[in-house]
Amino acid sequence: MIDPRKIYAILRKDLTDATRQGRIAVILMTPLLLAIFYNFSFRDERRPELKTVYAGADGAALMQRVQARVAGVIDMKLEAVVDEAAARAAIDRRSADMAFVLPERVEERVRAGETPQVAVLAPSGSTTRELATSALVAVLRESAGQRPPVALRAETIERPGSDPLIVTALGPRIYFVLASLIMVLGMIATIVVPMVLAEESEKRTLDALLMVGSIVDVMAAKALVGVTFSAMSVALIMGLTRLPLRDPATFVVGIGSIAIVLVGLGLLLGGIFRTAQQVSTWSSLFLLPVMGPAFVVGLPVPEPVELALKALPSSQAMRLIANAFGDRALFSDAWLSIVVIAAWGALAYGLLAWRLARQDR
Amino acid sequence: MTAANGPAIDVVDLHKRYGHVHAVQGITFAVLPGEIFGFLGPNGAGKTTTIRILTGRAHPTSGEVRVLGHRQPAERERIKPLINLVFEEQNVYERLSATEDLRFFASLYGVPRSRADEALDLVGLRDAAKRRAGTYSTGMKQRLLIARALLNRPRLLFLDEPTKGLDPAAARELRDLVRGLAREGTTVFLTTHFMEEADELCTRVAFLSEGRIVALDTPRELKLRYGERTATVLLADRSEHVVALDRAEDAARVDGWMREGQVLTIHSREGTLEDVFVALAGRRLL
Repeated sequence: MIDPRKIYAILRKDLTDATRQGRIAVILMTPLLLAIFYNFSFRDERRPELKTVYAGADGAALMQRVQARVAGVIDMKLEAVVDEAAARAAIDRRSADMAFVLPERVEERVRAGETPQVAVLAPSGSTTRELATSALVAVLRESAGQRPPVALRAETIERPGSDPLIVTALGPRIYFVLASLIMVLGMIATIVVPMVLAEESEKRTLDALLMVGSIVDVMAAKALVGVTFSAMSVALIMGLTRLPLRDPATFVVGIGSIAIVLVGLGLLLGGIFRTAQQVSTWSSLFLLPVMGPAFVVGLPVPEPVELALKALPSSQAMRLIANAFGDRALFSDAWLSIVVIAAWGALAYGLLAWRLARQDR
Repeated sequence: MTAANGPAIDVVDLHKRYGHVHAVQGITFAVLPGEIFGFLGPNGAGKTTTIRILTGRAHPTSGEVRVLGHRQPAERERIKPLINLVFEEQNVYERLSATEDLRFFASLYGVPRSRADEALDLVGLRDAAKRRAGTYSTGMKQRLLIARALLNRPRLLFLDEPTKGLDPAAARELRDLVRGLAREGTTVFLTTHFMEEADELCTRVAFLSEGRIVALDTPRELKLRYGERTATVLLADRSEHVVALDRAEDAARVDGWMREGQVLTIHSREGTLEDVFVALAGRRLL
């Protein structure tokens, strides 16, 4: 029979004890620091940035229309300068990628049928200059009342059966922070939880607990320790990185279910090891199959590997939580992901229940 | 039979097998309320297995076990609040202070936190209560374990090698504490390697050898029945002789030395529990 009071007491004790254990702090801090590092190393913006200066007293409205025209492909930052010399200086000191030098009343003159000269200044090797320049010409054509020669309709086609390249779709910042999330959950499950359990066994404190509570109380408390550390770590990483969450419900389902499943597997591992030292020595072997699959989701891999990924909980969890970010759901078959994770959960906790029943005899 | 008027422990034909190992081979005994009962035997005799069964941490292969009137392990959840155990291993939480450790176990037992403070006072750990247990000496850790075991005011207390590793003064304090608990009505089930300790503390003792109880009685009766009374005789030529007083030929030798005026000193010695065990099991405890 489960006793919530005893479970809560053991949970509180474990959390207090864990805060005083250096190795657990290090284990929890590693992925957290990685997430922070990735967060500040990469930007969400996947469009190339183009710092553009322009000289021309009445060019602001024109340049804003150019900016709007290229917004889908270029992140154009605008800054007005007083004259061509200032524009050249900005490029020289690398505070601008390109410059437009607009003559006075350029739009009026275009509308009047004149052909005023616009200087385009850019260093060699600028790949976005042509696009920006074309946009300027197109905007001026509109000002002159000229119709475009064709009307273009652009559409992105998703090929069936092929998952998108996750790093491209999400951007490196989101991808690597999500990888850090899976990493922290994996480390809690394969190192922290087994270590907490193995230490109780090693120091014989488990015997003292069993004089009062049942093994089910103890295991439930250890599972809650893992879930609490997982929730705290995820909240901390999400809070610090402020990832743009599109679908919170999918994220909570994905991260919550994989945390619970991995903690179940961690409790099974804890029963294998006799000492915390053994956990330290061998746990990375168990961490690899947890983290590895999550890290290759959405990458081009051979068909057998792709099939294996679909059968593993951490890769399915990565698919689910990746769907919670970005402009749209990246992976189809969300239900398959939930079913696979649930099946692993049933397996882990079923085996745990079987082991506890045997241990109780 | 109820807990109030029956034995504190009642074991009938208890067997425990681990695969091919027959650890406990049909033992039968009862422990009366308020008794300090010694359960003695060498390593591997089956003491720990028996304690595990009595405390509900292992299932018997066969036989009947009642603890405070309740069937073990079927009713172990009813038994747990009534008993406690001081383990042979010093299983303290080394990163918790004594206060934290005791308050944790108080919350597990569902008893007021003030019990933790009372227990600290009882074992004399108040001054070190805020220190982490990892910094404690062996004796202090043992006192903490005893305080922990008293939190639920158990009617039956198991002590597994409680004075192991303690200095003589700490061991004496602990024995006084055990006697005090017994005077207040707590039944004590004690295992120890120290025969003098068992002799001094126990109302009755059972000797366990290879999973079987080979003797069970009061220490005095056992010593009288199985112990050998001896005397160490120092003669004028400075030679020393140990003689058995109950053997006719040895008594005749002593008589001869006395008549010849060769005896300088003679020290008689009663049989010990160690002798009893050797006589019964054919080997020593350690």
